[in-house]
Amino acid sequence: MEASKVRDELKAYIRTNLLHDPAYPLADDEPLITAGLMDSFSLAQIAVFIETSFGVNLPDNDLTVPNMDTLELIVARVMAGPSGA
Amino acid sequence: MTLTSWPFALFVAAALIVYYLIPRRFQNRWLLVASYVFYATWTWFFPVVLAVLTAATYTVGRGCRGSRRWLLAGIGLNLGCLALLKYAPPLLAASAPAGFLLPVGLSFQVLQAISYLVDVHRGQTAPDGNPWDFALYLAYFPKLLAGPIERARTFLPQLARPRVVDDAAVTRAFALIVIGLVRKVVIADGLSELVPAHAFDDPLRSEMSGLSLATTLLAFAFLLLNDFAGYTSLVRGVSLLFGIELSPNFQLPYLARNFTEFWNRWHITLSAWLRDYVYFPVSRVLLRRNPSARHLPNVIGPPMVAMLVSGLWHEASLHMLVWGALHGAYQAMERVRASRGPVVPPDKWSAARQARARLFVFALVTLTWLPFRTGLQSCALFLWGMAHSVAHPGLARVEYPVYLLIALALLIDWIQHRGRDELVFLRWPSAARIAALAAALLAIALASLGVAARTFVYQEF
Repeated sequence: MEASKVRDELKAYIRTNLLHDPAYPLADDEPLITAGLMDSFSLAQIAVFIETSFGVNLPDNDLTVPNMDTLELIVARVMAGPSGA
Repeated sequence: MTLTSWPFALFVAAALIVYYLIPRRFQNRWLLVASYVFYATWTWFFPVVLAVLTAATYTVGRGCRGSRRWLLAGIGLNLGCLALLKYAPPLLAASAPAGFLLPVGLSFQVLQAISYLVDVHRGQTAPDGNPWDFALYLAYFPKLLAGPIERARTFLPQLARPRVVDDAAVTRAFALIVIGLVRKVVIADGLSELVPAHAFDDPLRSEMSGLSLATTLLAFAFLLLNDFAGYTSLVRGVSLLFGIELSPNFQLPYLARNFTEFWNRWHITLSAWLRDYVYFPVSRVLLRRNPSARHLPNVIGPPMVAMLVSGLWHEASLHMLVWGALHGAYQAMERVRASRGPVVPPDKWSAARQARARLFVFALVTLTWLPFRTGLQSCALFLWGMAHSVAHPGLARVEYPVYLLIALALLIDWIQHRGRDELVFLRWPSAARIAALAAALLAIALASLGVAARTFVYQEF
């Protein structure tokens, strides 16, 4: 699993399904939750998407601002694997 | 022992003196003893229930890593205890044994115990090796009565660390205590004195005009916020004096621009608990069946279930379930609306749109406090009274200090909002700081004169 592929798939998913704007210029370090672009429901959607697309099960307690606030944080969390180690 | 009373202040002073006289290694044990003594000032029964619940949760917790059976046993035990002591007596009514009392704060202790068990089961928290520290996690007296609902993984590490209580921490602690006392003693208790309880319980007999009933409801909205936010501020300040940081519970909720934001600002530790242990699991189950964000059960299910649980947690009554269902519906409708077009964060809305959104959310939240406060029949009569007696000038009116207290509450909110900091007052020039402190202490002293200390609303849950 390559980080660049994970990033591209996540970016496309977030733009289309969560921001409802496929052309949104989403930067890797752009705050998603703290800027009000995503909420709790979106986090659950991303978690299920990651689970089905990359086979990484993120526990509910990992769906937090420090872990999930930007695309690069989410990619890092996916690349760390199920344990987050 | 009421937290705004002199006996509590003396209790804290005595606990602090001993705490700083004894060696560091005994400080946690001392806090545990002090917490149980504090709890026993209600009745011996409360600490006994807490000790049994603590021992049982600790024992189950050691076996529940990876074991679903142990986890379910632990959750069942805690919920069974809550059902027996909180929900059974009202249902049994007259047949309940005498002295069958709900231990104050039990609902909060049960949520903390469940979060500990689930986190241990998931491998996110190690089962605590020290039973006394675990006992302190559930019993710590500043948060014993009404939270904040702390997680073991953030609270227990604090118990293991050295306590740093420097000048800055003491200043923060006293600032939080003073703000808490102003919100509770001056604003919430003041509104409590002025707002007639029968306006809610028997709206027609109260003979109040529609405008007065509306003002009464408005006053209740500010009473509830300032009572609970005051409590949280006070206990966070007290806890800081012992070198232990408790989580904030409120972040100017009446300035929220949508309902999701409101629940991220109101009773934050309960909202986070519901999100982690109800909302996310329900969302995942539904999304695995159908990943579409527009699939109606995915939109309605999670907020509705989470808010119904919230209603039931507050009280096993139809009106509280209606309150929860309404908030669940508001969030679901908001999601449906949001899914229709590109997401624009509230911070990027025009000032006018933000103001309209704040007013709309506040109005609906305030109206929805009605089923939170009173039964459904009284709610209907209250709304009927508001709509039909507007033109009766001879009817009873709300006393004008209600407006002053609401204005004071708004002023504090506005200052904290403008400064983007609940302790913005500490950054003021020293003359302004001294003037604000003197005004606050004078207001607290005047408000306390001849008035018995009132308990906190959330202590009842």
